[in-house]
Amino acid sequence: MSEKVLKIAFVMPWYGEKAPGGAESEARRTMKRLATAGYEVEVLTTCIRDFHANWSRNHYRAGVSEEGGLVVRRFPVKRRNKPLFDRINFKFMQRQAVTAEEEVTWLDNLFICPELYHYMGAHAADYIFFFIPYMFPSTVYGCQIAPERSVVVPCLHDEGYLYSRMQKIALAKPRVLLFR
Amino acid sequence: MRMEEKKIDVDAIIRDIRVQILAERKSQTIGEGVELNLFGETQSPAFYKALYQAWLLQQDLSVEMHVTESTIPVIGRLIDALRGLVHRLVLFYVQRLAEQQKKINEQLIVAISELSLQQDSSDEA
Repeated sequence: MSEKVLKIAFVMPWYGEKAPGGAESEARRTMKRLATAGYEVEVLTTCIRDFHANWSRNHYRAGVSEEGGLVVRRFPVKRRNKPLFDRINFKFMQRQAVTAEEEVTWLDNLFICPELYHYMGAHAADYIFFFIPYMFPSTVYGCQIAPERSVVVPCLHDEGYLYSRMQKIALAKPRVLLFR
Repeated sequence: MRMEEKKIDVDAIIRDIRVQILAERKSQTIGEGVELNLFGETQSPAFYKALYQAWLLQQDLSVEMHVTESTIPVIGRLIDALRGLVHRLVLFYVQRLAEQQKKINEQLIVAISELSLQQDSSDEA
């Protein structure tokens, strides 16, 4: 019986050839090198354009496309409560105390993309998942779906989010944490 | 590599993470290995606020270099350089003291937090 070859999936909040950001360019570089080395690499992401965009808006069409030699699977986001998110996010940024309830509200209103998690759950056996960066629900929720095949590249910063309960819980689960 | 196919209940996993976060509602990790009881119920809100403020203040405990410039012509620069040297020397020892004081403060804040947490637990029982 032949062995099943696993695909490598990079799970990211957004993806685009020109999407700005350190984690974004790090992921792009790594993925392209892996693809060049012969690995089957996919991007699992939302339809959000990039960090600076409206995180309730589906800028890209949902579905599968090929971009720069990589397979990109995009999943639609739902409308979030931005004012509520911003209020709690301000507390994080000011390093103020944030309650557990606020953390859950923050996480669930950062971006809302249930189809991404359901796809991962349904196809977990086909992939090794790389999550980059930490903090976002795609990583916090995503790396719990198949933790034994999950690698988190956290790209940590000394910031309020890092000390939250949700990150402590999330980062304890995956098989590998990859620092660079 | 062969992986066993199994059905994963994604909604249950997400619900479980929310429950885990809420289960830690009484404390907050403030720094590496430090958790403060910031959301207890036995003390007044002012107590928890003061505890948190104390933590923030002690993190910033340090002494900055501050040398005023001399206005004396010609030898002013030399005076500034000498003052700078003396200040740096004093600062070296003061900074060591401040570091020790920070550690003491941190332990005291954690101890107070622990006490209030114990009181919360005994009140619940």
